[in-house]
Amino acid sequence: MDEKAVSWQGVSFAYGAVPVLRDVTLEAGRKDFLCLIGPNGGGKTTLLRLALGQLRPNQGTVRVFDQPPEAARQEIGYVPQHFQYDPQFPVRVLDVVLMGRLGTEQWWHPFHRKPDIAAAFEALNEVRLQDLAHRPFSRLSGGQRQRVLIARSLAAQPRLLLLDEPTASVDAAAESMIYELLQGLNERICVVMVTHDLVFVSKFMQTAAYVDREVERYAVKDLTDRMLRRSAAQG
Amino acid sequence: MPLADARGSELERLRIIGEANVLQKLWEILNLDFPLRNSLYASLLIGAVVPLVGVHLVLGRRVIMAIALPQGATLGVALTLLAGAMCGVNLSDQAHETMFFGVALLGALLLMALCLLWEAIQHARFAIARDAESAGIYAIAAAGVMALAASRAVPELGMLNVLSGEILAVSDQNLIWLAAGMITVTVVLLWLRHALIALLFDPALMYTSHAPAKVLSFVNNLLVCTTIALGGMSAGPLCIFGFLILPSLVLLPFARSMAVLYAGASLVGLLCAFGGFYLSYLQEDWNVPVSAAQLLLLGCAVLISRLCATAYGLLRDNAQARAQTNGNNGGAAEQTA
Repeated sequence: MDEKAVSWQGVSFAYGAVPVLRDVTLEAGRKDFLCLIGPNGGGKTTLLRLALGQLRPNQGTVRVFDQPPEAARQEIGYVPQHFQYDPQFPVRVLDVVLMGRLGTEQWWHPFHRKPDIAAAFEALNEVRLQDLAHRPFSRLSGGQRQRVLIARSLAAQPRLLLLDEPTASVDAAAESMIYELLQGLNERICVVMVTHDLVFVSKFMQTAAYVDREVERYAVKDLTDRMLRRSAAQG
Repeated sequence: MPLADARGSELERLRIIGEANVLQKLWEILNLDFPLRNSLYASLLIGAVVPLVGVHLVLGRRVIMAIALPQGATLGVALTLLAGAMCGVNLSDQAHETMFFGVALLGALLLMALCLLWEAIQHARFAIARDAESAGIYAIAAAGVMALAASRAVPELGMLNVLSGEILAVSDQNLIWLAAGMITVTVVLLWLRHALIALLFDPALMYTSHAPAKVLSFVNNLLVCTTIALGGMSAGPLCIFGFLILPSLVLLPFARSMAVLYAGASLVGLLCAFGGFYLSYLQEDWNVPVSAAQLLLLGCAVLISRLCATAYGLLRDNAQARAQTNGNNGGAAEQTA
């Protein structure tokens, strides 16, 4: 049987008394590109946080490579929705990418080891930013920063990449470059992405999961106008 | 004319005496037999190490907590003295010096742990802004310190000196403890710097990674609190606050890497610690507390840093504009050719 990269089985979740997800069943295979669309507050980010092990479901189970999410953290790369940083924080691009290696092993090591540096450069190479490795992070454009964050998540060499609206604050050129990059990555790893960009979804995806407390997986051509309007209006 | 000549030669004589005095005082300080050498060494340790952990508070946007924690530590010391007095032990006695150091350190750490715990609970449960909570802690701790320092319940142990930042008497034993503590803090901080920097840069990343974010957060707080407790007992809360924040502010406009920020902040702190001590010793008549002189120097360093940053920005902009102009000119010349 094909091992699933991530699966949510009968998952329900509520923030206190506010229900967010109800009896959700969804899964993604090892080479799937799963897009989560839907209105704000529908539970898309919550699904990702459940897969990261940051939240625990009230009901149901979440498995990542057939393990509980906490046990599979080394297999997961994550690019957050809102990344707030201090522009005066004196870190170089390479430093940021190397942070992604802390989750793998020997986080207490006082010096970066050769395999860590090699993996960081490989990840930078993948997002085509190896030439900017020694540039201050604050001097990059929004699109470049987003690619650095993707490189950081790739530095740990994950088998599952979770992205929460990775193109929310970048221009159109950077957006298409990021999508192209993600499609390339999807040849070897599973990508699960929250997005409001329905142009990308309709152009490149066969299916998408519409998340609004409950989850339905649709062929893109079957998404109704109402669903598209609700998703796009909040993007 | 003879009167003017006489006045001129008297002024010249005074200037020469003044210069000789300046050099003589410097020589006295640098002499290994200098009577206040322990205070000087304590100052230098504080100047070099406190800015290192201060970098974490500034980059972690915990500046208000940086002023609240030293006050909390001082309140812990005062409460320790009070508890000792209530138990019939006069900790200010020379015979209890080592015991006082250990117990006061514990008291300071406990109070700071309570401050951090209170702030974290209030923030988590009621979503109260951390800065507001920290400022509240500062006000309460400062009031408590003032009340205890002024009351007769607490035995006099130079509490007022500590509050005014006057580093006078540091015993050999206390200096050894201070040095051991500061060196330990430095080694742990530099050893774990990659993980601690990542925690400051993007806490969310750490909480989603395999690294033990909670342990690292605890270690970070422990380093900050230990440094503040050790330094605060020798130099007072205001001095520690200054050394936590100001060296980072001097370096931030220029630092392009964390290594530069750490090393630069530590060096600026060290130089200002020595300079402040020297100025205070030189101007005995003014009776300027050591810490005040050190902080004034740090303030001057911040001012110079800002002026340099402005000039550097202008120069950089000019250089970029010049390069652009040269590039355009070169392109035009090529086209012409």
